[in-house]
Amino acid sequence: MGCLFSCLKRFNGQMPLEETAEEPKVYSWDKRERVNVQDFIIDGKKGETVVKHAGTVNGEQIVIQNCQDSSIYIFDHIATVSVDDCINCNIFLGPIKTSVFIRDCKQCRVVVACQQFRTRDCFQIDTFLLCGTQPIIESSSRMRFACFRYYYQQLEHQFRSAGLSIFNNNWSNIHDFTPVPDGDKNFSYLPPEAKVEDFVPMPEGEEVSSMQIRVDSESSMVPQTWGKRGMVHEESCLIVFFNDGGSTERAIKFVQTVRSRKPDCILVQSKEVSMGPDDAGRVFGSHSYANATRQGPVVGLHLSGEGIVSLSQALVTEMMTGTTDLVFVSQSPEAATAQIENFYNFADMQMGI
Amino acid sequence: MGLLSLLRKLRSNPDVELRILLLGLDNAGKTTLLKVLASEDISHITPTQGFNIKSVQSKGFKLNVWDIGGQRRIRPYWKNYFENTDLLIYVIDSSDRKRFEETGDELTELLEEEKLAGVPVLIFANKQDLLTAAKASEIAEGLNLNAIRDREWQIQACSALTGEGVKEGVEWMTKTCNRKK
Repeated sequence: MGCLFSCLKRFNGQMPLEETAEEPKVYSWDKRERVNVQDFIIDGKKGETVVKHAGTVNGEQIVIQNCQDSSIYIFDHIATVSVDDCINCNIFLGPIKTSVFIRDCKQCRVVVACQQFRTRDCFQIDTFLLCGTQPIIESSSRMRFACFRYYYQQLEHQFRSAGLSIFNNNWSNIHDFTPVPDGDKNFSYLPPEAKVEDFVPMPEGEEVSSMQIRVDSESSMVPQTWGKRGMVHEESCLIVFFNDGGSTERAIKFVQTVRSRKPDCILVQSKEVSMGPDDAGRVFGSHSYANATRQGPVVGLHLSGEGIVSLSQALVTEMMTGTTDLVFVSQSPEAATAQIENFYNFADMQMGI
Repeated sequence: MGLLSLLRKLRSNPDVELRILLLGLDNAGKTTLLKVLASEDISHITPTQGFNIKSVQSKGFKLNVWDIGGQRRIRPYWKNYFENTDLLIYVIDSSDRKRFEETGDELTELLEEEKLAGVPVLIFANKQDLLTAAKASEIAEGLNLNAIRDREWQIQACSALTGEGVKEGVEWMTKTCNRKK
């Protein structure tokens, strides 16, 4: 392909042909098992409910287009999704390895976890989002965002299959390619008390009930972060769990315990990132953590609330008694400010955000 | 033949630097391709807001690859990068049928640019790993690539994600530039 003309050109005296005719190369997509592509395209649904269960998509692509007044649930991990020309739809999308692209849609409610979130020419889309990179919108208005909140049995496994971390969530860090000069912002945040089920209703049916879907904030697979909604407390604390195989679980338990002891405390942001020994030295101002960073990615939590530093210190001591695990906790509210900035700047640089 | 191979050796001077422009619609996979060319990790790629540059060594060439964001709003800025371009790589999301026309229009405009006149173009029909991807031949026909008469061009099926097809594209690039430099 494409050779026809350039070959001719070479005959015209530019260069002699040096390559001999080769067999066309066979790529993996040439010998892929034949599947019915239509099973992966949801097209033209009107007032219908479509549910795709775990194992039916299995990391392939999904296309949703030309649907109206419909509810679409993809309870599986997915390669990539495009949602085009849909009106008034409820959409749940399981963990997406690469991007979700929403175009020419209006009045939709979406729950999605993805590596990249992109929209163009959209109006009034409410999204409960986990996004591993900075979400972007273009020529879209009245867009509202909240933190991803959902649980079902297979979700944890699907997050892993899609290569997403529950701690790397930039849901509120929206970049608008087409901001309105001196006007209202094209996006805003849903209030923290907004309920997923009021936007994307829970599906019904026998198969669905066995999934044990939960939509309350405590059960959510993804920790609920406050994001860029604007700070409510002055005092903040950085807690970093170093990798030892169980650090993810302990980070989640830590947040739950803080919230149960002091319900007005908030998790502002979280991050899972690999650090080198030198990075650790710069971020923590100490070389004591150099070895701990070698064990794998660390989980950093930015919590905020009155007395959060002393509470975190007490809790970490409690949780870590009798173990050899290493956890970093800010020593004072004054120190915390710089540590949080250093840690998250480092993480964002590392991830190219 | 002796003289010819000598000439070819002279041509593949390792000091040759090529300026390569990587363009295409948003979500086509330009940055992923750039990172694959530079053998970098592709698990945390963020939508490009401005541009990325990488230098890649390949077969006696130093490729300076410029990857420019592809959103509709920032496409007018592409022209700021046209000067001194040795080769254009145009990336197409082969599964984005909704925008085949849009990507064709953008390519046509690029080929009409005075500053890119005669610049060879390599078109990557990317995302072949996806179920709904159109074949490179289908895209070539749809974009009427056979009408391109004023420059060398090639369309190459690839998946930047799996890396397949990228090498073949790079080989065409170096071969084409070898003839030119």
